[in-house]
Amino acid sequence: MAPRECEICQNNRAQILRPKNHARICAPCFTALFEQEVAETIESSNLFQPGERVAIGASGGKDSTVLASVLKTLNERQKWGLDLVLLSIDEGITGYRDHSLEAVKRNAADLDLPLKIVSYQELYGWSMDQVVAQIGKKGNCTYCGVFRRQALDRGAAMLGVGHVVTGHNADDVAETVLMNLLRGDLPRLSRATSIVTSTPSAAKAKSADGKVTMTNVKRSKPMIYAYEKEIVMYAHHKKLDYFSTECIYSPEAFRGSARTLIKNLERIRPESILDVVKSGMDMARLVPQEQGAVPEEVEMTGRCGDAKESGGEMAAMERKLQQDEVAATNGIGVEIQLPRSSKNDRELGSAHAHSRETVALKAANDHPDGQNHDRDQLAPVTLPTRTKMKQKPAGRGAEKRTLPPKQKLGQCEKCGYLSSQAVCKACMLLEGLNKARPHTGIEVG
Amino acid sequence: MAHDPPNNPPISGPPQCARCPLPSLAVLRLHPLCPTHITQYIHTKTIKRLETFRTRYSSPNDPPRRLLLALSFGVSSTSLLQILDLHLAGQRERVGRAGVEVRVLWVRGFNEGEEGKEEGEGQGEGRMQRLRERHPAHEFATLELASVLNLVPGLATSLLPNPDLDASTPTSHRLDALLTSLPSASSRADLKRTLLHRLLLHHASSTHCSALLYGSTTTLLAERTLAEVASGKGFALPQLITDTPATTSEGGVQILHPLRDVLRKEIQIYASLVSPTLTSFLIPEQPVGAKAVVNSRDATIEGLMRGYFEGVEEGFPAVVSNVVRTVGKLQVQPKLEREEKVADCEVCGLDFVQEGEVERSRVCGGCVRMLGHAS
Repeated sequence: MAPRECEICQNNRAQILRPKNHARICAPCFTALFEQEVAETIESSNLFQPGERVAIGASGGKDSTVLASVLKTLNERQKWGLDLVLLSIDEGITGYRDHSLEAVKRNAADLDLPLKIVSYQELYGWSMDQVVAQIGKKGNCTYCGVFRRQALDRGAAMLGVGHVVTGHNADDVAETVLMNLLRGDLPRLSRATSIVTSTPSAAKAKSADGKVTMTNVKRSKPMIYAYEKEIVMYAHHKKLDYFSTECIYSPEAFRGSARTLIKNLERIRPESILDVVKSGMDMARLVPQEQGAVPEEVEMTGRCGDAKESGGEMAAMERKLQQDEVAATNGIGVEIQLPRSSKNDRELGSAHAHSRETVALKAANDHPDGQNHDRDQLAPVTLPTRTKMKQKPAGRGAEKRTLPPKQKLGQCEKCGYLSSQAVCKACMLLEGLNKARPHTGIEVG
Repeated sequence: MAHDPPNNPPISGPPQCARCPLPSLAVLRLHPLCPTHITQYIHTKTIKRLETFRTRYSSPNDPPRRLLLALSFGVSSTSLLQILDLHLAGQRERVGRAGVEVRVLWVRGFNEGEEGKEEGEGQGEGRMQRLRERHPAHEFATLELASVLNLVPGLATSLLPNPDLDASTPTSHRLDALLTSLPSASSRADLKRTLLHRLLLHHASSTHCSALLYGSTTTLLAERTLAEVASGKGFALPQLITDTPATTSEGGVQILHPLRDVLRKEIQIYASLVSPTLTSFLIPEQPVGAKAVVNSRDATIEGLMRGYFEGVEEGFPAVVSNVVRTVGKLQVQPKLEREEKVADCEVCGLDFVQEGEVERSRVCGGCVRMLGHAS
């Protein structure tokens, strides 16, 4: 068969078959079109204000590298007048983050953009390597995720930026939609499909010593409609320099499972990735109000997890769901204390539904929660709401039983970070780590 | 030191049934159960879903309400018929009459052709005849899938823009032409399912049935949830997966899935216990492994999800139920913004949100994808 011509310019040889519409086009037309489509997403959802200072969450991976390159190009071409900066988080994972940060540094130089690196070490006094040495390989992703959420907000605050853009692509979002369906987590499903998510205002939150002022950090995903394949092609044709190794931990069970499913779907019908995204957006509109809001939330769109635990998350959830089912059939019901007395008018019959829901959320939050990586440095991590915390600050059992309905955001007593509890999760985790610290060093008798 | 608890079951042989002293046959939701209690468990789970049709013996003169059971000769719908049959026979025995009347409808042209070889017509008719003899208390009917093109107004015009195939062409030819014109095996499977649903609903309504019963198990509903999401029909999940509330409107039909709390493997165990055996009625199922091959041209989204959930059901059955329960939490109607209104899609008949200026939005996004009208 004779080589086909590009459908757009009718001139060059077609090199690329677009997954979303089967168009055969040449590389220059592809890169132009890719940029144009990102511009359309940005303009149709009014993502940016003219002159806005915007931080690009940069991990050194393909998505954030492409995002930085596209935004830089578009900012000049479309005359948006944005003040772009790169923001990276250094978790302190030797053999992984140190290399990817080198890529970010090269990109910053190539694109001539300022770069700010915020490290766990400087913020918390602990690098991830130290955390792993302390608590072992199991469950350390929770620490990483919780720390990352704050690190990004703090980094944005240091830069005086109110808007962080992230490299989440269509495949990531589709994956998250399926994953949260499997987990029964509607709030996260809804959140994953919004182009803009915003941390509720925490403008008045200042740390006691006035070091950091929290701002209302808006997050957005300009590449929500871009296929991962096309991002790779764009990076290839633009000869972008990125770091492609994944975190040294393997995928969490649910995400791994959803990821395989998405890749298989793409093979059967390439358009289905965008269809899943669209379905997710439509479903978000069907999520009842009381389920919809998860202010302190994470977009679970990374790919990290604990290698040792592969399958563990699903199994843990399975156990919890089963226990609950047993309880429901026996009519015992799990002892659920509804967080608010105003909810007492609910019918008794709904108590089981509640219990299941709680268990599901609990399961979802138990460990995979923080397990996002890379881009997810841009995604805040959160934990189940603990309405009970005020009365029982150390009640680990009690905190897990509550539903996450309307959270009241206050600030952490220790660091001033916005939190629905007296002490934020990061401070709680740190407390645990610090308590144990001397023991590791001494260990004499 | 031995810590053997008293009454330890013998090491060989199955553990004792959780509800009686007999040996168990299988473990259902963590409980080892004997055949009798497995049957009882499945019956209870199923009949519970039909609460709205509980007989009210206070009004003996009301005509019994009719239920239309969609039969595919798969293990689930055939078992559902068996369960209903026994349930109604029990009612008749106790109070002299049954509260509902069951009509069984088999649609020809739906299951066949999956691997290119159609089941002989006689075979289908034979099954139907034998089933009728087995369950003489119920009415049985057969329809052609293609007949939906004539029965549902407007459907043919929105589906068949081809002027060569006008109303004078036999419907089966028109359906074949339509299926051939579709871009993929997934689209063909989608269209057949869509047409089947419309035909069943139409038939239920025109024969004054109060409800349409599907034999869908939890596992099937979970598969369909993910398949519909992947086909751009996330907006319609509550309409497709959740049982609809009873309607009072004229011709309104409630859609129910009485096996929605039963897993596929559970209904398979149940079916194996039914006596006389059900196997001679069932259309043998293809092994899933073959369907799950994603690189073949015949791979469908439905088949992919089938293979996927087979694994999940094996290891994590509660996760399967959780998917279906999650869909149950969604509202039916979205919050509408200005310039938006809800319309029913001309192809699938489901409510969808018409967005502003989109031209020709009489067909929902999912059906546009299915029909493959690029642009």
